Amino acid sequence: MKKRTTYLLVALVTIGLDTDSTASYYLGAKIIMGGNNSVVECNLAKVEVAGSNPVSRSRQFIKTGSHCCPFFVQENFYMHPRRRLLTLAILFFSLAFHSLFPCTAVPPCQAAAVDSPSKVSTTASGQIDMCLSCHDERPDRAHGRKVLGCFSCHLGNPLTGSAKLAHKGMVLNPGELYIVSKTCGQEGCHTDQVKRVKKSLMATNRGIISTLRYYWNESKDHDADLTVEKLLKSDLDTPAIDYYRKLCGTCHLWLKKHTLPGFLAEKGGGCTTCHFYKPGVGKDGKKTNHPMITKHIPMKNCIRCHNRSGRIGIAYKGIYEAEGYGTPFEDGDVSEGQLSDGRYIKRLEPDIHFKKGLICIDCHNQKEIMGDGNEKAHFEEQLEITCTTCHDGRQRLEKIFEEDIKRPKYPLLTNLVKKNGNFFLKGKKDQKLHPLHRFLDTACRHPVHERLACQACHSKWVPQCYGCHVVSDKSKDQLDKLSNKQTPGRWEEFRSFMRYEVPSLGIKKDYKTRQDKVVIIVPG
Amino acid sequence: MTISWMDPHTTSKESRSCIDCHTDPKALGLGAGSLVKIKGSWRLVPATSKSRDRRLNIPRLDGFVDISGKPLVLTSRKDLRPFDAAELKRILDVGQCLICHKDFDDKVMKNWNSLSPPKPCKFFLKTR
Repeated sequence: MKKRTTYLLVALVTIGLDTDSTASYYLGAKIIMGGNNSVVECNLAKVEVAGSNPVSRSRQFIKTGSHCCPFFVQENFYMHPRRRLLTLAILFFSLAFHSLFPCTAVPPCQAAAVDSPSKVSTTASGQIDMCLSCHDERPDRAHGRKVLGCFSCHLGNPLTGSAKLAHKGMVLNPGELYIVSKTCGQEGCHTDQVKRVKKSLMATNRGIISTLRYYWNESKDHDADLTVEKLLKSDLDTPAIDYYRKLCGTCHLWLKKHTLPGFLAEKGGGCTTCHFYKPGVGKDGKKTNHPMITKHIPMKNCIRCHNRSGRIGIAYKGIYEAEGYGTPFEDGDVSEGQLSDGRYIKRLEPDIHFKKGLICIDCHNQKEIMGDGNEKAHFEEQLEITCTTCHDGRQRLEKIFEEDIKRPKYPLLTNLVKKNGNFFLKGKKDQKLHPLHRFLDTACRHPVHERLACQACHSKWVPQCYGCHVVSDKSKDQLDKLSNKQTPGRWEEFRSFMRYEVPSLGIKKDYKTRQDKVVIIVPG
Repeated sequence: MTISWMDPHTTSKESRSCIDCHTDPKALGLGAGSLVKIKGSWRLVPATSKSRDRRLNIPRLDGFVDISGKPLVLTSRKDLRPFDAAELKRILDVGQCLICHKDFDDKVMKNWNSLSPPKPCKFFLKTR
């Protein structure tokens, strides 16, 4: 593949074209923009490869084109007929040369297929992306087909007309963490976010692994530095690690989407674990099979994982996981419904924020979810938002509002709105302005309640799984969710009874102030 | 036996009542049961029991701490613990007052100072 690109380069140099492109796949852009007539006439000099980010280059191009040369916008790119002919000639020359002198490098060279399209396809910025000639998928606007093409995200070879060669090295899901530094995290795109998310708890599972090992007497403390990424490369084999691999290892960002069986197949996918939805029909009304990338994470993406252990995702919606036999809470009949994995449920009162229309990302900001770039052991270390962020009154909100203006990249509350002197939280889903009320000073600020966390009193119910225990059967096999292989030893979880009423309280030091706080404690 | 801490995400505008926490052994991590005060000391009559099979040595499943403040569980954090003996006594003692002085609308509760609690009333003296 590399050889073939080299042939192209050689051919271009030979004919005297400008070939100082920043990357070989930007050849198309250079052909268009590096040319004489169209570029100069349309005053598109600014477009000429500014930075390596294909998105910004495309935007720059469209922006410039829109006010100086409408033709560019209509056609997305313009190529002088002679230049177009020349480009095609170069491509065919390259293919012919390649066929005459086949290389023997590994992977074995394929003869150029003649299933190539009749024209050269390019993105708006002029990058050759032959994938577009066959593929009609329409992603979201920011990652649109004419903005990024297919290659920027899915890799492969955009310069060939052969389907077989074009698909070589492709990735179906560019968001997978093992490849993400070449796709979403490539320079000029989401580099910072990708670096941070790899160190976030959703990717490392560090707290889960270390606490489990502490419980099972394999570690001296709760904060050991063992992560999913390390386990993937490790042959560490202990009972706690084996248990983690077989039962817990389905909820982390390193899990590849559609690799595990059953309902677990929908879990994982790196960036697309969260930033993903399938609309069926795009905004233009046309049917699309291409998933949409979104920063407005739907709640169901969060709940896909956050429905076990503390069960906060389902509890927020007022769903309580009942006993496995479907406890007949009312009228002697089994529970009100089942989750996709078969667990019976009972409907209880949802969280007031859910009732008002707020979704997970209305409160949890980017740094909380994707981390700040530092590896943390437990979730409280990664939290930025507490109840008092919104409910401590006007003075605090005024301060946050002013500070957030100074930190536009990572504000504390992206959706804090000031209108007519009052503060509101703007729902990211419902787009409504939700007034922010201050708590009652009489009860909440009384000195005797100084140590109470808000949740201690204001949590209506909490799922409590008593007598949780596991059984190991060494005569059977079970799927190791990290390696996706059946390995000896099977774990099965049991519990004695479930309850939801009367949350119990205990003491924990606040992570930031180191003061004792009365918090909700649960078995687990 | 292990415990963890969490925000259940089941927030409601109305809070639990004072008496819900100050008189309920389950809320205090003692497990379900009845509390009695005998000669100034609190005792718990548990509603759940230990395993009858002594070989298994399974404790009460909903008890995170005993009435003397001794933890019965491991915790998921170094700085997480059930209430200790002094805290349990303090919380439960206030619970006795809440039978009459129900909440912060009551002037006794509103002016409560944990460093110098109000002198015991006649009813309280009888119940000691």
